[in-house]
Amino acid sequence: MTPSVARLAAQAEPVQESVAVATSGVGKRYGRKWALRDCTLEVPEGRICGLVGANGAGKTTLLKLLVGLARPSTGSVQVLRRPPSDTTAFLRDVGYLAQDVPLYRRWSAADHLAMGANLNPVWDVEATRARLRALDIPLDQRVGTMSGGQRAQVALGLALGKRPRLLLLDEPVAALDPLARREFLATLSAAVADAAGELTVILSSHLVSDLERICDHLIVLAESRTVLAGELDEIVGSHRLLTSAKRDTSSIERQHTVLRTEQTPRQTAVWVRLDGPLHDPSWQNDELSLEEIVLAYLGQRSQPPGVDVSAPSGGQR
Amino acid sequence: MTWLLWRQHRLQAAWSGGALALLAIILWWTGVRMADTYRAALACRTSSTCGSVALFQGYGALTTLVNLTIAVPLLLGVFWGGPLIGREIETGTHTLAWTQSVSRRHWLYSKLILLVLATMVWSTGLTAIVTWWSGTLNSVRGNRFDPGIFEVQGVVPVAYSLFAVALGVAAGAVFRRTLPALAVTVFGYAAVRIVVDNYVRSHYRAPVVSAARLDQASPASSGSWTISNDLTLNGHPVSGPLNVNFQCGGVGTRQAMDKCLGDLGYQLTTKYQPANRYWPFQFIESALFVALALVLIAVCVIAVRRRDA
Repeated sequence: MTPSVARLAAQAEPVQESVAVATSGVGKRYGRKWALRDCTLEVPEGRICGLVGANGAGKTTLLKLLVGLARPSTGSVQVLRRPPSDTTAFLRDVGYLAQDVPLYRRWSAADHLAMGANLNPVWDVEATRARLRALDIPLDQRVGTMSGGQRAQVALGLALGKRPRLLLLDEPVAALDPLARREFLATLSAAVADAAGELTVILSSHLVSDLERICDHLIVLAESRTVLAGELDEIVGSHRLLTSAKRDTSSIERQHTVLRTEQTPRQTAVWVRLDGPLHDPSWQNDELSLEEIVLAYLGQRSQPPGVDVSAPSGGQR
Repeated sequence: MTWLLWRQHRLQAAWSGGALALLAIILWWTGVRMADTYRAALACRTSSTCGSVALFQGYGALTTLVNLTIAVPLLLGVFWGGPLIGREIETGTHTLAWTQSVSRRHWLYSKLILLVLATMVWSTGLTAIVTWWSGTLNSVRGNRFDPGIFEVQGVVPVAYSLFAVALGVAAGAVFRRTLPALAVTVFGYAAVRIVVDNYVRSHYRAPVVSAARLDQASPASSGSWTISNDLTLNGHPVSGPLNVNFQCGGVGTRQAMDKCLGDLGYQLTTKYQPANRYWPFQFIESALFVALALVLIAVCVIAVRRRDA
């Protein structure tokens, strides 16, 4: 294709929703062990995207690859339309909060904010301070003596202060009590609302209930492969639990994607993703909670062969 | 980055600066008095106006203190070098620093430059004071080539310090934890110093070999470094006990016996490094340790930049 044709073709494409993060066949190996393998996903801009997976599914590794703390062994990573790099131009756009919320324990919150102000070209002095003050976090207390919830808020403030376009949070609420967890997520939602679509968040967790409260997009990783990705509403809307007296499920399997089948002597239950309207009214048709859906996908891997495990990634949009 | 470095290391800077200042005051005060006493003693000896002059009083503890500065490079390696990167990685704060808008490269080089500069300034300050303080004792004893004294004066202490902090920072970056970094620093530094002190230093230049009769003065003048003294007979080393009484028995005084042995062809063969090689040796040894330090810093840079967080 000559350059002019390429340009024409590009112009002719319909305006697409822009993508904040795209990975293609990304793998990461530490020594002989693969921490992440063949991971392909896309996160559209302006979303709060939950990243769910069992422990060891590669969530932490994936987030490290996105912020450039680790380099992929295979595949490619695009973050804000460029590969992650160790440069100010890239780093200024990406906020990151590591799993165990590392902070300088002997420093005060104010010290951390001063660090943010000194190490970032853009720094939101007032908003950051106001956010912490509103939570009654003493700015001049050593963070080592703070509660876990307060520390997480300081770390979140530090990550938000540089007004990133992408914020990566690695299990930030895993160690928090329910109240601190709620406050953390509330701070996060408020920041996203303030950013008016300029901020994309990827938030990993193994607790679906936390994500359900705040996310509008969901990616499920199972053994580092994307098994489900899409808008939360669509995911919830398209998955059903079908039950009826014991019967054959092949007609369902032909039309829809069956995640899991449970046969008891009297009853048949099918967890299914509807790929079209359900015609057969003889099935009792129940909604599934997000947690049940995620568990169905995570459980797939340990199912006997014959179950379709190659659920298309991003197929929900 | 300047702010970060200052905020992270200001406490260390205060402690180290305070310790150096305290040491400087003590040594300056005693050093001046020592030099005055020494000058007065020289003056009264030439004019023979003095009875007995006690040269120095109360410097024993200070000499010990000055000799102990031999451990300073190790302390710098352990307290400055090891934790600089090792502790950041151990506590995970490196991911905090590396995800601000400053590149990892910039962060690393800023830290290394600070470490090298601080080490040079601090170590040069200490060594300058110690060298000046020891000046009087050096002129009295003429032994600045001796083990234990060569290593705390001149320029080598600065080179040792650079080597020690480079070893510490590289071990911290490679092992990613403080404690292993400290262990590697202590044992690595000690091992290299023991090898260099005992097996390498005497070979920087071929030693001067000279033979002299036992009743003549040794050619190895004051301030030179005697590597070996061997009794030889017609150029061959004498081994085993010498039956002095059989050959030169009953000649009376020690001088007479030495003369008797000299007449029989016994000589004292001395291998030594002359006093005027002191500075060349200082610079050769310094160059060796600075080169080692550079290699270790390269290891540290590779460990931080190539490896994942």
